Amino acid sequence: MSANHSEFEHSLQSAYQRYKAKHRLDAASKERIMARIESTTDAHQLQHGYLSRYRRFSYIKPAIISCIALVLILPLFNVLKEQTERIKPGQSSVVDVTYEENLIATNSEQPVRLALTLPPLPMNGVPDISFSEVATSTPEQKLLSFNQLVENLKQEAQSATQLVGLDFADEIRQGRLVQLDGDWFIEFCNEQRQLLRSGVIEQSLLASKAADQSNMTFDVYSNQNGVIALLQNTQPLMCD
Amino acid sequence: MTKISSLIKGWLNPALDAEQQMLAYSHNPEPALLNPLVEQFSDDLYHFLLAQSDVAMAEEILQLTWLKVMEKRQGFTEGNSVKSWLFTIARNTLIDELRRSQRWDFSDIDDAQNASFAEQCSLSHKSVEQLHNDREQQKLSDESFRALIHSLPLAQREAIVLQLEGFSIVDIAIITSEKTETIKSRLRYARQSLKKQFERINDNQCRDNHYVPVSGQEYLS
Repeated sequence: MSANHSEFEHSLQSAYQRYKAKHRLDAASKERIMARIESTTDAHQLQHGYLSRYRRFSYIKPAIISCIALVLILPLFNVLKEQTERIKPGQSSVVDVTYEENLIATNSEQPVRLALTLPPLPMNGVPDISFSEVATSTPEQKLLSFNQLVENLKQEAQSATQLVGLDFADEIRQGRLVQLDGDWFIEFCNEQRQLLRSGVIEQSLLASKAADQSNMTFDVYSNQNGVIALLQNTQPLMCD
Repeated sequence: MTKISSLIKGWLNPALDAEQQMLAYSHNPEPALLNPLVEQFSDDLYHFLLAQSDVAMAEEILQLTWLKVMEKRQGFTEGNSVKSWLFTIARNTLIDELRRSQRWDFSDIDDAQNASFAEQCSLSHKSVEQLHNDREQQKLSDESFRALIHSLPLAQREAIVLQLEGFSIVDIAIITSEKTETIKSRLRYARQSLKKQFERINDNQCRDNHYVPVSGQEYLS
């Protein structure tokens, strides 16, 4: 019985192996399987490529990229800072606009000086002096008229204190009153700016209640000692 | 000389066994890592599938099996048998396909136990004659063997083919998700049935009976 059983098992196994050997999967079928695997792998990578990359995500690469970016960005910040300072200078040289109160002839019946050097001041009873002839003349004539006026004032001065600040100008430049970040500047045609002392501006220019103070045009009289006086010019600023 | 160089190469670059190969593929899904497994196991899988279906379907299911292997590669864990895992996938794929095509008729083992005489003699006249001739030649021909296997109910056929593939009863139980006792029963009845076929050939008892021949394909459909 056992021998019979064993013989049956043996014949069954050998028949199966013979059958397998004779009906092997042909090479073409295997190639088809492998080709399908290849194509499916490609399609899968196309579909899930980002995910698979995400699974292999390493923090080393972002860290290296961040370090490189930091090294590159730091000098850029310096450049940016320089550019910012160039656009908005910090503390430029402040030109003190001479506000010669002593020029005001308070004891005189016709005060002349402050109204001459600055736009109308809020002074009651102080008449403005018209310089229409100066405003319409050439720069050379304006300079001449100004110096002539200074000469007259010097001659009319009765005390030494009244002579302080009276100086002749040898240069006249046109400028525009501009306000930047709360500070007032005179901007010249070459775009150079000179900061005005805030006290002078508040007491004189702003008190004038002009319609558009930031567009007021001035003739700036100066010599080697600095700016002597500002005279409002009714003509618009003409720059070449 | 060539042999020595190949030995040295082999020693320096030892080939991965199937499990290592599958683990390597599960970590790095490169087709080059899967191809050796395709080469190694496709024949076994193909014959297992062929025993349950026809040639065209076996080839199709085989392709689908490998695609599922790609898909489920992460499910393979260290310590598992690659062959068992592949056969499990192949079997499940086959069952899905049979269900989809409404050819699924997994006869219960009890039905098979009470199989009628016609079922026991489920070989065609031609097959019986072929078997008789084979018996005279002391061995089964390919067609006879195929007919013999396909005469079994699907559950028994599956179990006996898996055993012929070298799987233990425990392995077969795992692959088919059945209890070992169930597998033992199926194998016992399958053997009894196959033995009866052999005896019937000797006795030639089926020759004079008129029955409807049921091939494996007809059984499935």
